[in-house]
Formats: sequence, structure tokens, C-alpha cells
Amino acid sequence: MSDTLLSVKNLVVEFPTRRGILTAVNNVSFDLERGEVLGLVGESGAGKSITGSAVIGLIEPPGRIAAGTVHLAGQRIDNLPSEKMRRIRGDKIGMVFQDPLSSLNPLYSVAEQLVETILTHKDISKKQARDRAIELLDEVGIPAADLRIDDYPHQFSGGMRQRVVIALALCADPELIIADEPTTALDVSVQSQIVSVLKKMCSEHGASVILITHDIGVIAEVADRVAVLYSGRMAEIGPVRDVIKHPQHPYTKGLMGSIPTITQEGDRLTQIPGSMPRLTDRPPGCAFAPRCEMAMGACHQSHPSEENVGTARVACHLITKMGAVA
Amino acid sequence: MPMNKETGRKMSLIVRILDSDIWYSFTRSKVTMIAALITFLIFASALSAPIISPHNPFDLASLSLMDSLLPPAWSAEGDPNYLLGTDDQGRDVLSTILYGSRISLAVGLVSVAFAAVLGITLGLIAGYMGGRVDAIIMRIADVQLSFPAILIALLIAGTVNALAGGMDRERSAFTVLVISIGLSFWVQYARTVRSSTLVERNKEYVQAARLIGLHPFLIMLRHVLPNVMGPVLVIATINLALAVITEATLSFLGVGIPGTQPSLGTMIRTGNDFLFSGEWWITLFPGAMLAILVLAVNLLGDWLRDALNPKLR
Amino acid sequence: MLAFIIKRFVQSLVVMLVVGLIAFVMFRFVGDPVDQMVGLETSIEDRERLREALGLNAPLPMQYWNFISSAAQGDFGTSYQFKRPVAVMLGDRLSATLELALVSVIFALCAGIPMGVFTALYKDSVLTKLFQAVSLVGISLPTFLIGILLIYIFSVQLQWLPSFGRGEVVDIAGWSTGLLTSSGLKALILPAITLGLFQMTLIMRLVRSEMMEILRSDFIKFARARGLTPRAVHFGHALKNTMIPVITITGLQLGSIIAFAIITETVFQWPGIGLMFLQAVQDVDVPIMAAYLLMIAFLFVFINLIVDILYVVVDPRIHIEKA
Repeated sequence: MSDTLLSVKNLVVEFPTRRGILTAVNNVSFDLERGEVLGLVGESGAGKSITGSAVIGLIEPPGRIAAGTVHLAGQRIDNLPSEKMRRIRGDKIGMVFQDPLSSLNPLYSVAEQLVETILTHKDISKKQARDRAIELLDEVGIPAADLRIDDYPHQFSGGMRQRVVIALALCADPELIIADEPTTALDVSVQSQIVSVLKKMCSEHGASVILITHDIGVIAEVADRVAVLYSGRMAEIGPVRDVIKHPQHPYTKGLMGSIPTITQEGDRLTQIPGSMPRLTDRPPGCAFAPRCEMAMGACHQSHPSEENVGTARVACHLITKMGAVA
Repeated sequence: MPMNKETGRKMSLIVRILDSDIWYSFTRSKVTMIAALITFLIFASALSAPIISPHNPFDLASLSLMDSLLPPAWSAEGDPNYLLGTDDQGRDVLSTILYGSRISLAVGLVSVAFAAVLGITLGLIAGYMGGRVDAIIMRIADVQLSFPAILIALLIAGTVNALAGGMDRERSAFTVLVISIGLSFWVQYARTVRSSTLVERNKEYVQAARLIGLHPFLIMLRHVLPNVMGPVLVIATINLALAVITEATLSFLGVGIPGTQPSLGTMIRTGNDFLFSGEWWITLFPGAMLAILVLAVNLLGDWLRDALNPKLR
Repeated sequence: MLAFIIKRFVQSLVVMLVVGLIAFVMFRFVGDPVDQMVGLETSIEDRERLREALGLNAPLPMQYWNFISSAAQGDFGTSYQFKRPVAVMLGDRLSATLELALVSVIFALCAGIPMGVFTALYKDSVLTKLFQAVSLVGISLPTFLIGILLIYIFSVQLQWLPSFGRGEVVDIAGWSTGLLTSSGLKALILPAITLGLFQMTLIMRLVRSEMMEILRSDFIKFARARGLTPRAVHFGHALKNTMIPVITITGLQLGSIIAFAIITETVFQWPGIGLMFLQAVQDVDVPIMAAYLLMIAFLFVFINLIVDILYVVVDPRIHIEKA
């Protein structure tokens, strides 16, 4: 059995609006190995969340996957009928969203929501499901799980709630977890706890992770590889250490340079002038060209193709032309 | 060149309207456009009733009992003079509908205007002054809101009629109706305006204006009112339909417009007595007119609410 | 929670007292009670004696207090027109109105909720467009017009159903019901539909918009992401959350229905308290008017109070103290 769990090829996601068709995700490709944690970073609106939603089949109409394929463990899933896709959700692919308070139904206790999800995918008794639920809550670190399981969502603190959400996403033992900004809505002090809970649960349950975030610090802590998205396209993808320490794409360089670190003293933080173009007015050619210091003629005319450069894959005319940057 | 700048500015306003989301959603919906057309036609015909109506049903001298209870012109005993038939007094149904809808619309529009002015004023006062005044006004509003408008209108109209005895109901009916309907509808306006006022009140420009010596009340009028016009317009449109229905209902029940210069509701009341003896046209034609009018206004109100709702964009 | 209940209770009491004041003012100052009760020939002295006997010369606050306390005990005075105690007249006709109101609410809920759910889930279906057209008609046509139309179609033309009255009624422990006779049931149909159509429309629209809103929420997205069946998502999660505002608003509408019954009772000559009130308005029979006002106010206030309390009890977010 191959080690590749997820294979996304040339994914295009479109949203028809009255002003025309907006392409949120434009020809994105990446693979995910079993047991791997892949970070998906980029600014707001770069298309990371939509990529995640596309993989799990939750793009709301009139949006749709216009082109490309998604394969899970060798099986194509992007074109499945809705009932088949429903079975995959929760069972093979789980998803964690940003706001734990709004992710949970306020009228049901945690027990009810866990048991319902477990019973949807596993043919066991209610008692067994409840026991399993208590076990899971224990694993994610909820103290006195057997007592708190009957509580309602609003009775938990933010960090505890997100743990419940993680338990819910994992309760049917999926192979892949997509975490969409799991820490953004939480207090800073709680964020790293949640990230480690996520990592621990996933490795213990054997699930791979796509971690979508704009926080590179989180990625550095937890991810194996990272993909950088810009304006719906992939700018760079590679092992975490390499991308962070030796970014190839000009955008990635700017991104890494804008993160304050304790070790770097005195230098000014890099600021990338301008802002990411809106979906409605993307420039022809490379979307980053207008802001790029090193843009050449070709950059404004055509989009660069992805090239392997060392351990990474980069889409940049400069790299294509000149090879790796130190 | 200055000429072009002026026309340029006017042109750009028109272009902006035509390009706006509101116009787009308006032209997209055939139903709404038809509704708007119908509303316009009804308004126009009601306004021009004296001009376009074949007879004057309010001129008692012109009525002839010989012509009473005639069926519509297309049936056997009908008279082409009276297209939709006549009622028991010999009044031409078509003309009475035109004049009647005039009265119904007049009551509707004036009472909505009254309710709006009252509600906006009270809302501004409550929001701006806060404290006791606010609490009192809002308490009254809350209590009143838990009673249906029709009941309030009925009570006021009924009581006033009772107090006035039989004295000159013809002339006072209009005023009584407007006041009672208006009083039952002011609350929605007040609430909307009050919450906007509360938001604006704390902004710095209000305090700045106070320092300058400008009366903040006027400033609030200038700034709160524009913010609030959208929802107020939606409320007003929906209210118009409700006001017309309320007037018709009150007239039907006998506490509205009296019978000699009938509104649509009064006509339906009169005609109801003849339904079983087969003279259906006296009730059903005014009924149809009322229904079409209210339906059209409701459709417009629906569209307006959706068009102005930022959440649905 | 107890503090909340007490506070609401006190508020309700205050409202009742205010309404009582309005009713009292009407009762005392609209027309002259003495003039209404005696003939034209009665002497001035007799009138004065009557006035004294009725307590009309006592200080006003005292009169108000008497009015309120008698009303609280069920004594609403005597009708000018019928010379009978108002309370008895009310009692006779109350069950007619209440039965009509209840049946129409049941109709509105049973028709409105499913229609609302359907139009929320199947937005593009032909049936949805039909339902929405019906709902537009429902809120556009005034109640009395609906009644007249139904009478015209079903009574005049088709002659299937009666157009006035209650049919045969059966008396059970003071409550007269038409549900047990076939003529009673037939007589209930048209009025109940007339009264309930507006409510049905309201409920349908409410359920539709609430459900559509909730279906867009995050927890529904998460429920889908967990692979829950469409049935579990739509009914278990979405509908349950929809029900709270629906029940609340329907409960609040209950009083409104009883008031709208005035119109329906007029159209169908239904012998309820609404029709009685209308006749009282036309006859300027103030005791009945005042009594009706008090009763309706009481009903509203009572219903609002119950709904508020129920809401707090049912919604776990408010009912359980934060851990």
C-alpha cells in the first residue's frame, strides 16, 4: 500500500457571482503522506480554507469544484454522489473549525453530540458509544470526563471547548484531519496547548493532518511540511525547516522575514508593500508580481509553473530561470 | 466646461443608481416590477378618480334607485353604463371602487406618515435623552407591542365613536381612523430609530458639536436619520399594506368610514348582505381591488426588505 | 431564576393595573352610568340616591379600587343593553371563542411548520413556489375577506359547509363544545381556517427564515463535516434550534388570535366574546367594553408571562448556571 494518503491535483474552485466567475483556488496540487502534518499557510483570502472545504466536499453551492481531482487512499472522492461523500466525512476525513463555541449545537450536551457522531459511523451499542466518548474526552485532556460529558457547550471554557471539538472530529477514527484555523479564536496562552493536543491525538490515532493557518509559528512547531498559498495558487511547498530557513519564493521570503524572532536582534521586520489582490481583480501573470521586488517582464505575462528546487517545489519565474536562491 | 461638470455629476448619480445592487435586484425580479407597476396604476387611478371615473357615486342627486342592484355589464340584465354593476343605492360599482380606493389609500398613507413621524420623534427622544424618559417610552412601547394593532385601533376608534355620539361621523371618521391606526403602528419606528440614536449618541462628533454649541439634537437628525431611512422605508411599505387592511377591517366592522362615501371596506360590508341573494358583485369586486392593492404593496415591501438587507447580498 | 419570575410577575401586575385604570376611566366617564340605568322619567332625587348607592360620589381613587377589586372577583357590572351581569354573559360565550381559537392554532401549526420546513430545505421546488404564493396571499388578504370568500365558495356556491353559527353544541361541565357533533365540526371548519390562515402564514415564513438562517450556521457545517445523516442535520439539529423562536412567537400570538376572533366571529356570526364586544361598541354598552378590555389584557399578560417563564426553563443556555 502506498504511503500517499491524499493526492490533490490541479484543483480549481469557482464561485459564480453576478459580476462574473470568481476563482478562489486556481490550480493547486499537493500530496499528503500517511502520518504527516502539512501546514497550509497564507493571508486571509488566499484560498486555504476553501482548499480544505473542497477536500472534505463541503463547498457551498453555487461554489463548485470546477476542475482537478482529489484522491483519498487511491480512491477519487471529489466527484462522489452526496450520500457516499457523507459516509466519508467523519469516518475517513474529519474537520475542525475555527470557533469552538459556534461549532457546537448549544441545545445538546457534549455526550449527545459525541454519541450521535460515533453511532452514525460505527455499529455499536449506545453504552459502548458513551464509554468511547468518555475515553476520548479523557484523551484530549478534559478533567473528570465522566462527569463533564453531560454538560452543555457553554459550560466549557474556550480551550476546553476546542478539545471537545477535536474529540468530536476524531471520534470515528478518520485517517485525515483538516484543521481550519483551530487556534485563531483562542487565547494565546491556550493556543499552544491545543496545537499539542491536536498533534498528540492525531499521531496516536494514526491520522494525517492538514493544518490551515496564517500563524507560521504554529506551523514551525508542529508541521512536517508546509505549503504557502498566495491568491489562490501555490507559491512554494516543502519541508518546514527548509521553507522557513531558506525560503525560495519572494513571497515566502517576505513572509518569513516579517516574523519577529527572539534570536534576531536589531533588524527591521520585512514588510511586503501593497496587499494581496482581490479575487475580482487579479493581474495577468504571477499574482505576486505587482508587489515583488524582483519581478521581471515574464512575471507580468504568464503564471510560472512549479519547479523542483532542492527539497521544495516553487512557482516563480526567477527560480525557473536562475535555479535555487541561497 | 462647467456645464459638463454639472451634467457629469447628475449623470454619475443616475449611473450609480442604475449600477447599484438595488436596481439590479429590482429589474431581475419580474414579479417585483409587475407589483410596482400595479401599485403605480392603482395610485394613479385613485388619484385621478374624479377625472376617469364614469360616474360620481358620492353625488346623491345623480343616483337613481331604478338602477340599483344591476349586475355587471357582461351579464344578461346588465347595463353597459355600469360596467361592474350597481349597489343597492344605484351607485356604479366601478366608480365607487375608484373613489373608495382613494379613501382607503388616503387613510393608509396619512396614518403611516403619522405613525412614522410619531415613532421617529419618540425614538429620537428616547434614544437621545436616555434615563427615565427612555425607560417610560420603551415600557409603553413594549406593552403596546404585545397587543395586536387591530385591537388597539378598534378600541380607540370604537371608544371615540361612542364618546362622540352620533355627531357628524362623516367628517370625523377620517381623522379618527388615521389617529387610531397611526397610534397602533408607531412602535416599530420608535424602536429602530432609538437603537440607531443610541449608537450615534456616543460618537465623538456629537460631543464635539456640543462643545461648539450646536444643538446635538439637530446633529443627530442630520446623521441618525439618513442611517435609519432604509429600515424605516421597509417598515413603512409593509405598514402601508397593513394600514389599508386595518382601515378596511374597521370599516367592515362598522367603526370606520361610514356608508355614504364608502371606502373599499365599507363597500364590502354593504355588499355582504347581498351575497346570499346572488348579488355578488357588490362585495367581490371591491374585495378583489383591495386584495390586489395589498398584494402589490406587500410584494414591493418584500423586495425592498431583501434588497436593503446587507446579510443577503 | 426565581428572581426573574418574580420580576416578570410584578411587571405583569403593573400592566394589569394600568389597563384597569384605562378600563375604569372608560367605564366611569364614557356616558353616564346612571343615565344608562334609569328611564327618562326618573326624578333627580332618585338619580342622586342611585348615584350614592353606586358609590359614584366617593373619591376617585376609591372608585378605582372598587372597580379593580370587583373585577378581580369576577364582577364586571351590568350590561346597559341587556341588563344582565357582564360576567355571566362573558362566561356563556367564552368557550365558543376559546374553542375556535384553539382549533385555528392547531391548524396553523400543523400546516405551517411542515410547509416552512419544506420551503427551507427544497428552495427550488415548484411546491415551494406554490407555498410561498399561498403565504403571500395569506398575509395580504384581510381576515374578513378570506372569510367572505370561503363563505361564497363553500356555502353559497357549493353548499357544503354552513356560513354562520356553531351548529349543535354539547355542554360538558360548563364548557360548550361543538367538537362532538357533526354539525358542530362542520361549523368549525371555515371559521377556523379563516382565523388560522394568517397565523399559518406567519409560522410558515418564520420557520422558513429561521431554518435557512440556522442551516448556514457553523454548528450545522460541523455536523455535516462529521458525516451526520441529512435527517439528523435537518431535523435533529436545525429544526430543534428553530423551534425555540417558533414556539415563543406562536405563544405570543395566542392572544392576538383571540383578538382577531372579533373579525371572524363577525363574518360567521359565531357566538363568542368577540362578537359580543363588537355589538357592545356599536351599542355603547360600556360595561361590556370595559370587561372585554380587562379580560383580553389579562389573557395577553398571562400568556406572555407563561411564555417568558417557559423559555427560561426550556433553553439550557439560560436555565443552567454557568459552571
